[in-house]
Amino acid sequence: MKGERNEIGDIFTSNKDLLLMVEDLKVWFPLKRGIGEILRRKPQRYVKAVDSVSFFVKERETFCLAGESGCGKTTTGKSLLRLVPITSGSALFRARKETLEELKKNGVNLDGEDYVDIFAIPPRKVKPIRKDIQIIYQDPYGSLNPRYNIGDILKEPMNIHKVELTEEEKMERVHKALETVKLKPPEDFIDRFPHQLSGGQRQRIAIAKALIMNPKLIVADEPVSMLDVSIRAEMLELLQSIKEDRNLSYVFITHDLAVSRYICDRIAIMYLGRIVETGETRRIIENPLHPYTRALVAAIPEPDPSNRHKLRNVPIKGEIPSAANIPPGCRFHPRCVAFDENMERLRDKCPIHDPPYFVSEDGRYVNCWLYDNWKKKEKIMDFST
Amino acid sequence: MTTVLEVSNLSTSYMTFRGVVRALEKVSLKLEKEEILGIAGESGCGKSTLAWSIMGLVPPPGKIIEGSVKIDGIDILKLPENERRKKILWEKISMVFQGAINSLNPVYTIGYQLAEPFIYHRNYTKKEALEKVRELLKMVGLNPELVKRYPHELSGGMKQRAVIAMALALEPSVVIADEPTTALDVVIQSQILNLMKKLKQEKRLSFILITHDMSVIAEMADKVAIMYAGRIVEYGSSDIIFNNPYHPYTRLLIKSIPRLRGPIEKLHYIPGEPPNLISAPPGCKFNPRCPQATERCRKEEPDLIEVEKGHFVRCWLYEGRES
Ligand SMILES: Nc1ncnc2c1ncn2[C@@H]1O[C@H](COP(=O)(O)OP(=O)(O)OP(=O)(O)O)[C@@H](O)[C@H]1O
Ligand SMILES: Nc1ncnc2c1ncn2[C@@H]1O[C@H](COP(=O)(O)OP(=O)(O)OP(=O)(O)O)[C@@H](O)[C@H]1O
Ligand code: SF4
Ligand code: SF4
Ligand SMILES: [Mg+2]
Ligand SMILES: [Mg+2]
Repeated sequence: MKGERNEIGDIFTSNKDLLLMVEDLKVWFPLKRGIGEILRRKPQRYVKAVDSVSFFVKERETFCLAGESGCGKTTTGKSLLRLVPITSGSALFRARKETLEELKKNGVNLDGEDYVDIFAIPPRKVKPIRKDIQIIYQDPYGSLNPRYNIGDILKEPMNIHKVELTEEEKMERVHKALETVKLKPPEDFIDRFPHQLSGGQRQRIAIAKALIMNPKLIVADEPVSMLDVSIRAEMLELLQSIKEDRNLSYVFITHDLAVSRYICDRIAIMYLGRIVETGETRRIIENPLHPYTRALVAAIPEPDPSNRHKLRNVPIKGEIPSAANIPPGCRFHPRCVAFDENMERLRDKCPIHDPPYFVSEDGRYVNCWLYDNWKKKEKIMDFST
Repeated sequence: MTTVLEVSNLSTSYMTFRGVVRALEKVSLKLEKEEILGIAGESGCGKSTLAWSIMGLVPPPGKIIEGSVKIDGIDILKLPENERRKKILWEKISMVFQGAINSLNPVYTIGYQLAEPFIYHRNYTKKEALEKVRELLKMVGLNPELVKRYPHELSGGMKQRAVIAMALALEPSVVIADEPTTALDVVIQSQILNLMKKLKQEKRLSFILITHDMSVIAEMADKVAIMYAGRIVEYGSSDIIFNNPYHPYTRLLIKSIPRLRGPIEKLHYIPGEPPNLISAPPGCKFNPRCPQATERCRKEEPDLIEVEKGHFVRCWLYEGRES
């Protein structure tokens, strides 16, 4: 295990443009057991919210996690801030120097490296990480404390992290953050309460709050889903320009593939806790390879009125199973049309063996036996593309 | 073509403590047999209020101020409440209301809840009613055995099918569906939209489909009404609305839709936000956000005029273009 970790570490060290590399993340929530189950010594069952997920994010990149409700996007995002218990896995992250220093000072062993494995930090020592990685939640209504005014909401992260600044300096940062998210003049907003703002303005406050600590990575969890389409593009543009100005990276979570196409460099499509396909966003949307991605792409309505004359053909069967009851073999096989069509070849594979990732010529990773004539993914992903 | 529903000059307000919310202002529209009319617009523009007003069921503090809703030539808003409930609602026009799947009663089985209209309106016995419910469930692609299940045992998509089944129970000719797929994932959404298309053909239904999602409108609607601040600002065939819209608001709205295919063009957005309907600005309600607004737009409100056959626009730019 130690050797393997070092191997991953070496690769991370030598690829300076990598910001984050997650390997084999599992987040399994234990299901409550009935007394009967305990007495009969039934094994503990889990909701496998995230089940062996690997991905990487480069500096100044927007990486997208997409998929249907319940597939594990938010849980994956939260794991990076250690907001959910990690079952296993590693997440090497190039934190800022000050953050690494602070971790070291608190007794976190970094082996002299310029990165930290977020998942290996003891639970009580993870706080400094939450300066470098911020999260923006989907709901601009629920995520801001209704009893605080905007000034206090924006000062809160600085207080939590005990930033050594005078009150004036903190206020100055608040003003700057408000200007960055184009709430001008800042004085007009500082004394207001969240309910005195529109949905779009609240989401701007959430973004400003995420920026206050100068993070390196922002997990943006469906940041525009609740907003009207007429102002969505404005928010996406804002996120884009902030990224360029501040050398940020995003893990951008969305269920909307059309949105992802405008903002994400690379994308991972998730199904039942697993990334089924990952690669360049445009390629995946133009030519989806995994049978689930194909269905997902085929299901998306488009603003073309000639579609009204036809029924949409979405190649998928049945309904999504529960994350507490993941099918054996390939987790998609009970719904997979490609499996039915290739029964002869796949009968002994899909229902029995969980597929590994196969790597396409254009650098895509696909979690499907259909592509078993391609190169198999080794321990670590290839991020040269 | 036969007109199955005709709404004229319908206005509805909510009498709140903070003031009168003028949520619907003189809305007129027509629905033809076997047609899907899409109603689109931003959150708060009055789409749900329109739906409730057509049914004559606006919740307090809302009040229909004026207007008529004619079904088969009868103005249903003039009928006494109990007659409307007994003879018109569910029989001739029914509604799948916004968030309906969350308001299924958790303590009753699906069968029990769907049987109610048969018992109340048709005086069926419980057994007869349940038999009808099984047929209904089959019609919307559900297993008839679901009659014995409780709402929490169904997925979101199954619940949405069940509430559509409920709306279709008494075979109305008009169904209003308010955001029927908004809470659903795309795969399930596509199945529900396919189901509605099939039902439209097989049952010769007419739909009013309300959604803020323009792509869903394109996928379904024959005609489209674009609403802004409680008014219809543009109305026409869906080909016109999507391919050659006239109103500045519609144009910007269409340009703001992210697309899955084709070249990635810069997405547009509409700066600012819709007005507060207690104190909407004078003149054209879109003028504070409109790139083409003139002095006149800030003072006088334009009427909805027919610029070409079946295509209506509410904007000063088209003054004198009446056909
Ligand atoms: N704290 C928890 N305890 C138990 N199960 C959980 C917990 N949090 C999430 N889950 C389950 O884990 C799975 C993944 O949830 P998650 O919220 O990550 O999905 P998501 O992709 O973000 O979905 P959505 O698009 O609906 O936000 C779901 O089955 C969910 O019910
Ligand atoms: N019960 C109510 N009391 C007071 N105002 C209301 C009430 N219901 C709706 N309104 C107001 O009436 C206007 C129209 O609301 P309506 O719900 O019809 O909009 P909508 O277009 O359906 O929006 P959404 O897309 O969010 O469903 C809004 O300004 C809303 O705030
Ligand atoms: S591995 Fe088999 S069942 Fe799974 S997606 Fe591929 S073809 Fe379908
Ligand atoms: S009337 Fe004037 S403000 Fe209104 S949409 Fe037309 S041009 Fe714009
Ligand atoms: Mg989520
Ligand atoms: Mg509504």
